[in-house]
Amino acid sequence: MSPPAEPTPTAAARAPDGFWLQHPHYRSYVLFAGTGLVLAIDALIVLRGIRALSEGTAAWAAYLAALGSPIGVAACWALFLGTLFFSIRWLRVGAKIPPVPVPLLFSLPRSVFLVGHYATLGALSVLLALILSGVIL
Amino acid sequence: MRLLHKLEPVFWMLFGAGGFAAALILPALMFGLTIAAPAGWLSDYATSYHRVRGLAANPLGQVILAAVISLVLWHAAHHLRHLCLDLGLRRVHAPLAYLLYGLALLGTVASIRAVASL
Repeated sequence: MSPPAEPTPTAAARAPDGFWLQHPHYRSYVLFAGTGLVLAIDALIVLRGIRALSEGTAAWAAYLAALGSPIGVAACWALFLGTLFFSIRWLRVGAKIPPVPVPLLFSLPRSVFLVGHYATLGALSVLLALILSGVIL
Repeated sequence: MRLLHKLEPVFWMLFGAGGFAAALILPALMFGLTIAAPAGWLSDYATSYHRVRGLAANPLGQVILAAVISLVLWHAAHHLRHLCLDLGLRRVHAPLAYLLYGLALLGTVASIRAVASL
């Protein structure tokens, strides 16, 4: 009987230092996580709009005017692009996780979920565009 | 920390739900509300106070708006908490987590109050 094998020597664990600057994939990951800030600002802008609606016509007009100011336009475009980046990446990551633990779903290729997610995004975006532009409702 | 660990499944659930709410709804909503409407690309009727208020004050509109705002804030809090962990801010992890989740809770209450006031 041979003696038990020695454990493989490994380096001591240490906290990563500046790891996210060392590889494009990590930079992209940190940028994705950082969109949390973009989404929070989005939510607060929508919340401010609802409060403006409850305050009256003048407050709603002032809200739209603030968003339409040069700084507002630049900020809104930056936020929109950040939101779009988050959306595309989140749906791509989410496609790896079947939403319901059903054997049939687990056997489907990942591309089915990916197409399904992007189709849902497209359909909801069209619906919202129709509502916001006054075509329906 | 014990409370944070206990509530971890809830935070992950809110993170997932908020992620999908943000990914599926926010791009079109933000483009319409913050870019197209102020730029005048939508008709006066579409952006008129009475029409938009009517949409937002509808019971279904109220539920959707409050849910989207709240879930997105919880998602953002959880994502930023883990970003801070990844960047090595372990020493301030607990107070930071309480701060971020506290702000999300505050935003949830504020969104419910805002839609209820319509």
